[in-house]
Amino acid sequence: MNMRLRAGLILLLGLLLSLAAAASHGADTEAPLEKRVKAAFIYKFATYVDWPAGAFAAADSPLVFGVLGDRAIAEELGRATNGRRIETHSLHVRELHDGDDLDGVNVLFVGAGGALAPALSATGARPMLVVTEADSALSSGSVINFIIAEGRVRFEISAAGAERRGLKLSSRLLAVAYNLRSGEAR
Amino acid sequence: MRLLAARSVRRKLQLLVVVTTLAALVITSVGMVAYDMRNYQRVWVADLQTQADILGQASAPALAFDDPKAAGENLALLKARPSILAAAIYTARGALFASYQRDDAAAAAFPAIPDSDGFSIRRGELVVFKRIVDQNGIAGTVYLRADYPLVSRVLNYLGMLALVMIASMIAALALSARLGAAITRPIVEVGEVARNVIERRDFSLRATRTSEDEIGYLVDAFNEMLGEIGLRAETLESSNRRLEHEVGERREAEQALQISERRNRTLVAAITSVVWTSDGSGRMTEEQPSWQAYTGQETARCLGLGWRNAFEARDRDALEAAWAGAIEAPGLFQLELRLWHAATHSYRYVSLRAVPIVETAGKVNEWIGTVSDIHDQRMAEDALRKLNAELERRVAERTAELEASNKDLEGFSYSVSHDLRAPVRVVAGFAKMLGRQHADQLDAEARQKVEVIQNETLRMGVLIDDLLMFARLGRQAIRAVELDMGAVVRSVYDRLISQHAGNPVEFHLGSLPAAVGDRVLLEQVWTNFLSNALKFSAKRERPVITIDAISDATEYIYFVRDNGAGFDPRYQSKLFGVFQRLHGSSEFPGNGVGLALVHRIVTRHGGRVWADSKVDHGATFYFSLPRDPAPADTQSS
Repeated sequence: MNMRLRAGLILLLGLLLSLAAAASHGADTEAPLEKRVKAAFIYKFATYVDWPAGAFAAADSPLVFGVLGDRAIAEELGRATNGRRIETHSLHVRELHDGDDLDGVNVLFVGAGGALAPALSATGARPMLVVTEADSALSSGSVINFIIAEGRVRFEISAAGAERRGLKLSSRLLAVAYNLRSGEAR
Repeated sequence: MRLLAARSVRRKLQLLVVVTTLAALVITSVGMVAYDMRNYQRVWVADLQTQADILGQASAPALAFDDPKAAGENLALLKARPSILAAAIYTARGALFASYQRDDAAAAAFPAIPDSDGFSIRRGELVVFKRIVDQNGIAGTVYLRADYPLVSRVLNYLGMLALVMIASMIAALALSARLGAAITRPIVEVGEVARNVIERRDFSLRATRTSEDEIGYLVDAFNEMLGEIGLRAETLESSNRRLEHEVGERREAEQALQISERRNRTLVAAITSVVWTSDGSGRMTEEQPSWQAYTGQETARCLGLGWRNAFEARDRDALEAAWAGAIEAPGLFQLELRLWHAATHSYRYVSLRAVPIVETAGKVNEWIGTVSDIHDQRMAEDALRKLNAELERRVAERTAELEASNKDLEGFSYSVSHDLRAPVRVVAGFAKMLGRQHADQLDAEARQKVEVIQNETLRMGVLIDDLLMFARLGRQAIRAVELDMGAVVRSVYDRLISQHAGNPVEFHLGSLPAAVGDRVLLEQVWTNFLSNALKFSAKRERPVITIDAISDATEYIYFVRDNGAGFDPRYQSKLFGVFQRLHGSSEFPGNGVGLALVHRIVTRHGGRVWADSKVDHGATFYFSLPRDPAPADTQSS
C-alpha cells in the first residue's frame, strides 16, 4: 500500500515534471533536454559507484556534486537531487568555476564551458567520479564521458580511470556504457 | 452389487481388491494432480516472477540511462528459455521500452500500457508483470508472456497415472490371486466338499482345516455340522429301513392272512366232516350244509332244536343232559353218540364236539361244533376189547391149569423123593453091612465096588434130601422173626469151617443189618453161599471170603465175595436154575440144587438174588431183603 502510494506520488511527480519540461521545451528547445538528461545521468552515475574508504569524512557526510562550466546542468542536477539521498549520504550540488577548490567534491562534472585540463589535473588521483563531455577526455583522466550517438545521449567509461581513483563502478553501469575503455594510459 | 452377488468368492475377492486399489489410486491421483497443478502454477509463476525480477534488475541501468538496445539485448537472452513467448520492458511512464518475441511465436500485440504487479493466466499462457524498482523508485515494468502447458501437463500426468494404474491393477490382481488364494482356497475346498456331499450324499466327507482364522473356525463348524447331519441322516435312513422292513413284514403277514383265510374257507367248503353252528342256546339258526348232507335233514327240520332228532332215540337223554350242562357252564363240549347217517341208512357212532364263542361278560354268543364219524373206529375198538377179554380168559384158564399141574408135579416129586428115600436107605444099609460083615469074603475089587455103591447111595440120599427140601419150600410157611444176621452168619461159618479141610481162609465179616425172615431158611441161604465160597476158593493158596451189606431206602443187600474160580458172566441166567451146574462135579462137587434153593427162599422173602463174576477172578453173590417184608407171603404161590 505504501509502495503503491509512493508509486502514485512518483507518477504524479513525473507527470508534473513532464508538464514543466513541456512548458520549458517551448521556450528553450534543444539544449535543456540534453542538459536535463545529462543531469539525470550524472545523478544516476553516483548510484552505481562504490566509493573507497576515506572518500567521505563520515558515514553521513553529504555526497557533493560539483558542476564546472555548465550552469544549466548545475541547476538541473540540483532539481534532480533535491530531497534525495544515496545510501546514507545527503546530496549537495555545488556550482564550480574554473580554479575553484575541488575539496569535498565527490562527483565532478566538467561541462563544455569549463577548462577541462586544469580541472582534471587538479583532481589528480582523488577518489572523485569525473564526468566530462569532451572527445578524448577519458584519455586525459576522465572516468565517464558523455557522447551523442544516434541522436541520443550516451556515455563511455574508462575502467582504468576509475581504477586509478579507487572507484569501483557497478558492472551494470558498465553494461549500458556505449564504449568501455579498459586500459588507458595518461 | 449384482456383479458381486453373481460371482464366486474368489472373483469377488479379486474384484474387491481391484476396486479398492482403483479407488485408492484414483483418489491418490486426483490429490496428486490437484497438488501438482497448484504447485506447478505456483512454481511456474514464482519462476517467471523471479525471471522478471532478474530481467528488471539487469535492465534497470538500461532504463536509467535510456538504453533500449541494452535492454533489448538483455531480453534477447530469453532465447535460452523457449517457454517464454514474449517479453517487454516498459518505462516508468508506461511506454514500451524494449521487447522480445520468440522467433516462432505468433506475433501478438504487447499491451499498450503495463498492468500492475501480478500474474494472469489466459488461454494456456501465463502473463507476468513486474515493477522494476531502484533507488529512485519505480524505474519501469517487465512484461513476460510464457507457455502455460497445464492441459498437456495434466494429460501427460494422466497418461502416466493410467500406466501406473494399469501396472498397479496387474500387480494387485496377481497379488490378490496369490494372497486371496490363502483365503479363498479353504472356502473353495469347503464349497467343494459341500458339493460332493450333496451330489454323493456321503456325510463322511470332511473339509481340511488349513488356517486358524475365522475360515478355519468355519471349516470346523462345517465339519461338525456334517457329522451331525450324517448322524441324523443315518438315524433317519435306519428308521426308514426299519419302517420299510415293518411295512414289508406287515404286507407279508397280510398276504399270509389272506392265504390262510382263503385256505380256511376252502377247507371249510371242502371238508368232509360235519361242521355246524348254533346260537348261544344251542338252536341252529341257519342252513347247515355239511350237517344236512350227513343226516339228510331238511333245513326246516334241523333249525331250532330239531337237529337233536337226528340222533338215536336211546342217546337223546344223555345228549340233552350233557347239552344242558354245557349251556349252564360253557366250555368244551364232547359226547359220543349215534347219529343217523343218510347215505348208509343207519345210525353211526360220531363224536359230537362243540366250543362256545364267548363274548363279553361270559355270555355265549355262538357255538361252533363238529361231528366226526368214529363208527368204524368204535367198531374196531369193540372188537379189540372182545378179543382181549377172550385172551385174558384163556390165559387165566391156562395159568390155572399150569398151577394145578405144578402142584401135581410138586406133590409127585415130593412123593417120589419121599418114596425113593426108603429104598436108597435100604441099599445103603445093605451095602454097608456087606462091606463090614462080609469083608473077608470079598476080594479087593469087590470091596471097592461095594464102597462105590455106598458113596453113590449116600450122594443119592443127599440129593433126595435136597429135592425134598426144595419141594417142601413150595408148601412150607415162612415163620418170620427178627434176625441178627451177623450172628447167623458167624454160626454158619463156624460150623462150615470146622468141617473144611484146605488152605486157611481169610474171612472178613462186616456189620450186617438185622432183617426179618425165617431163621431156618435164611440159615440155609447163608450155608449155601458160604459153602459155595469155600468150595470154589478151596484151590486158592490164600482164599479170601468177605461178607458185607449195603442198605438203601427200601432194602438190605447182603453179599458174599470170594476170590475163587468165578464163572463166566454169560451164564448168569442159568445160575439159579435147578440142576444147573457151571462146573463139572469132578472139579467142584455139588448137585445143582443149592442156588435154586437160595433163589426160591429169597424170592419167597420178597427179595432178589444175583451175582457177578469173571472167570478166575472170584465171584460176588448178592441177595436182598425188603426193609418192610410183605406179611402176606406166608404161603407158596
